[in-house]
Amino acid sequence: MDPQMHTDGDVSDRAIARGQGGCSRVSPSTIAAVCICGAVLLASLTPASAARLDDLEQMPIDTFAKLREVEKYQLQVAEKMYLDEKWAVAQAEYEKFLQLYERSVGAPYAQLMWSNCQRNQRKVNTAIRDGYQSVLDYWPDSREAIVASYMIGRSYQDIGEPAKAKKAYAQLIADHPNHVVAVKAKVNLVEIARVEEDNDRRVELWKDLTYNTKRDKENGRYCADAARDLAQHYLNKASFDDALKALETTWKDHELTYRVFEVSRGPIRNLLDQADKKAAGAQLADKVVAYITSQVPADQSDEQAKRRAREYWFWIAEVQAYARRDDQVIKTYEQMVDRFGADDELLDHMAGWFRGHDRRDEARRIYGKFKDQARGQGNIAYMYREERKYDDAIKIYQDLMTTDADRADNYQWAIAECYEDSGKLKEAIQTFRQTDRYPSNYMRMASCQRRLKQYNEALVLYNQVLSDNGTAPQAMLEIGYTYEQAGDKEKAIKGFQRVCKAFPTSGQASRAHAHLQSEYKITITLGGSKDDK
Amino acid sequence: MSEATPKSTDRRPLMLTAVYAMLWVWLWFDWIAWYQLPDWVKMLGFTASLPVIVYWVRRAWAMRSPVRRWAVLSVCYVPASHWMVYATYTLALDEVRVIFARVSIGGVFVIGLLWAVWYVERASQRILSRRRAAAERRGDRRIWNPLDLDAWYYGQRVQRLNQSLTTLVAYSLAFLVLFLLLNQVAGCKEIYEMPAGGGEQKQLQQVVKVQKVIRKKFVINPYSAIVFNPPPIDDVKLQLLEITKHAYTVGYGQGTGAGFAGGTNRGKVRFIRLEYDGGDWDQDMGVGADLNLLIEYGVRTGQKVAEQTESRKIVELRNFPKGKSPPMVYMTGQRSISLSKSEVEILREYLLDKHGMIFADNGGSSGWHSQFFNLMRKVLPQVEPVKVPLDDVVHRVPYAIPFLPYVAPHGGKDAWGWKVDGRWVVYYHPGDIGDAWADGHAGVKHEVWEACYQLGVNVVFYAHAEYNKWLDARGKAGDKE
Repeated sequence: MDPQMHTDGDVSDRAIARGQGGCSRVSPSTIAAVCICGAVLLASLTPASAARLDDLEQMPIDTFAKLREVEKYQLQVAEKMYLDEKWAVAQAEYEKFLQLYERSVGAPYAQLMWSNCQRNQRKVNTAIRDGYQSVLDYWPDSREAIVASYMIGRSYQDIGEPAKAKKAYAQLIADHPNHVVAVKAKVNLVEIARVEEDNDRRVELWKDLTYNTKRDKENGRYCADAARDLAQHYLNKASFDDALKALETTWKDHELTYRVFEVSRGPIRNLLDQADKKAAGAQLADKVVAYITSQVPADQSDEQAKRRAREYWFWIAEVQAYARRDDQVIKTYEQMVDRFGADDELLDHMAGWFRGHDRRDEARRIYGKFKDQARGQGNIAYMYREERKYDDAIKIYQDLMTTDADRADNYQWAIAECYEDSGKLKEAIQTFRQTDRYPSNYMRMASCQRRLKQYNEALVLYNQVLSDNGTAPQAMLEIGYTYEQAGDKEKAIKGFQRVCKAFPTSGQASRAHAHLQSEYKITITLGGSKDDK
Repeated sequence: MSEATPKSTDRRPLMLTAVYAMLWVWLWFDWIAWYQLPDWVKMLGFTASLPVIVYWVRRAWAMRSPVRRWAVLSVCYVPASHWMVYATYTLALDEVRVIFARVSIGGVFVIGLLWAVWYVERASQRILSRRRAAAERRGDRRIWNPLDLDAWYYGQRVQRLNQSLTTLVAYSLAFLVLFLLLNQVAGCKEIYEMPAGGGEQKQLQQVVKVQKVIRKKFVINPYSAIVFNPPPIDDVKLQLLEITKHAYTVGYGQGTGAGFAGGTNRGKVRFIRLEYDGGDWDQDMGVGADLNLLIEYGVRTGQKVAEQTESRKIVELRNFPKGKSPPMVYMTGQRSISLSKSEVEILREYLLDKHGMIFADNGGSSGWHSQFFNLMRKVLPQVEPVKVPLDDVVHRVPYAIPFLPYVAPHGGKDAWGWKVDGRWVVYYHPGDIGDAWADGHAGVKHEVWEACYQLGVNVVFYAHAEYNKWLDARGKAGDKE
């Protein structure tokens, strides 16, 4: 043990002892101050700050309450380092705790956290061998021992040892079947079975988690995910009733309807894509539509019921779309128009569907019916851009600049992009110049200048952008490429080297480094891994 | 028939020789194509030819018929010359082996030619004497028999010369065809052999050696006219020299010298990189680049290494037989990776059935990172990539590497691995380690490129040690069967 550490611990102990024994000689104001400080210290230690730790990294409150102040202080120091991801320092602090307070009730926790520090430093084997295993060996009855058992399995999984992980999880599930880590272990076993393509085992585990696990606050979400996955599995086999049964274990009413809609779309499409299962896919779609329809509130007198009914109708339309029943989709939307009236949201869905199915004129017609004319016209202009009808798009944007002046800059930018895409680069430069989006507009202007082979102008713009910290690495890299395009290889190389030197950790430096190596056979350092030690 | 020639009543030596000849042919095929038997079995088998040869040579001297005598000696020449070639091959005397092989083939050619000339000449004489005895005339019919000097294509003049030339050409062609056919038996087969030896899969110990350097003492003449500043009082300087203590041999298994128990005397550690379509697979290859690592590996481990680094197409991995395939291949690049379905299967077979390993190095782009991961998803669909822990054996033996060294973090800052049955079958380095091995070391600090060499040595050693373990396990399984 480090003698210095002993001294520190002793001093703290003595200070506390003095505080407790000499209270009568201290003034009331001092006592009040000490109490406030103590309260602040406690507040900083208890769940408020610990909330950032993972469930399995937190110390139980009853254990925490039994700790002495010095122990709490030492753990606080270690935890601060841990939360700051200074793993090596945190590890040293937990180690210090273990050396100073070996017999403390917090020792197994410190040992567990020490192991976590090792794990986070990518020393997983050490974490298992010298950390988690020590928790099991020295404090086998502690709560941390259960967590350590789980972490051993998780660590084996993380280093690509699924066989050992399965063994550890199986032992854990047998020893602590009702603990939350047993549920987590089962979830991890599902993941291993997925990788090993062992579908039977996955279904078995999902069923166990869905039907046989007593839900509580801690394991609820894992069981819910399992129920969802099991339902999806059944839907992929076109077994709607089994899927619904699985979902009903977790959700009710509106949420259940949403889950049915959410998990059924993929399986419907999968089944329809398989020639021999098309009929099953269509049947499944029918069942889902029927189920959602049955959930549409009969009484739509209040606003909430009406809103919900609309939502369900949208889901029905989407399920029909997944089932590739175009006529049914249109029919559903038309029914919605009849029932709820043609508002912009509904029209947007309809137009979107027509656009997706390349019925662009119908889509445009629907956009034209928007109450929010600016939004509708904006969508029409965007469609023209998709169709490379840039003049039509520009005309609409120009109109919008006058009718919807609040968003004039957006339309200006869109016009500039239209010019750029249509090859009218000079007009594009002029329009980009009029926008307020610095430095993006300078970068786009420079790009246009390069396409016009006006390299000097492009370089001037890029150099102006260099003052912006966020864009500087990209601008510097573009300077290199610009020189390269201009045929000035010497300056291009200098430009790329400058990126590597000025921003060695950026992605641009990585690209410049690779470009220098592949095109010019020049190697330049990016500093290497010196900071990782 | 003389008493020395084999009679029907004394056929046992002939029968035994025939049986041995079959065994010899089997051993020979195994040597060139099958690679199933261990070297010592083959050496024993071929050495068994020596007493047989001695027996037949002694018997040949006693034969009255010179034809039989020379026939026996000619046949004996083949196993005798082959034994010399195989012995030099086993002893890894490559230069001598090449000379012996050439002399051996040359000898077989000359002996065969002499027998061909003798046979043609004899047959020709018989035809001639038979024709003379029968006072037969050639007449107008065309003779096609090449053994007959009167064959129409030998012409009317210098028939004997023409026949001799034809014999020479025909024999040479036949020899060439036979030679090529026998070579084809081996197909495009290739073998990889590890250097023989042994050692332990343990971490190298860093020790500090203290050397006391006693400074020179000066005797000063106080009456001298020369002004001399006396040296400082502490005349003993401690020089701390950090050295790597080779307390053990770097290798694996029981054997003498650094190497592997499953290796051979002629085996060497080779550095083979994969050629693939779509990318710059040859980045940092050859002299002043990856050869630096191979040389460093040889120097640091004391194992025998190849003179050059090599490259092979992915399909060529199929040419290596099980148990004689490369324990590790290197793959790098920064552009795209384009592999066919069959190449993916070959890689899978190489990694799983042939117990190989891929050492991948991202040569300079995040795109290569994702492409390599996609490739591995196809090659090993049932294996998830995981981050290789820093305290894993591949990062500890023979060198303990405290951090992952890289030139640039093109694919992140973590090494990834694909593990099958507790063995890394793929080690992926994210940051251009090959650039650090090259001359100039990409400008990174000494400690970084030194760590890059150490990591390279570790991965190459890991692959060979694991391969050796597998060979051991195969051997034991074979013994049990």
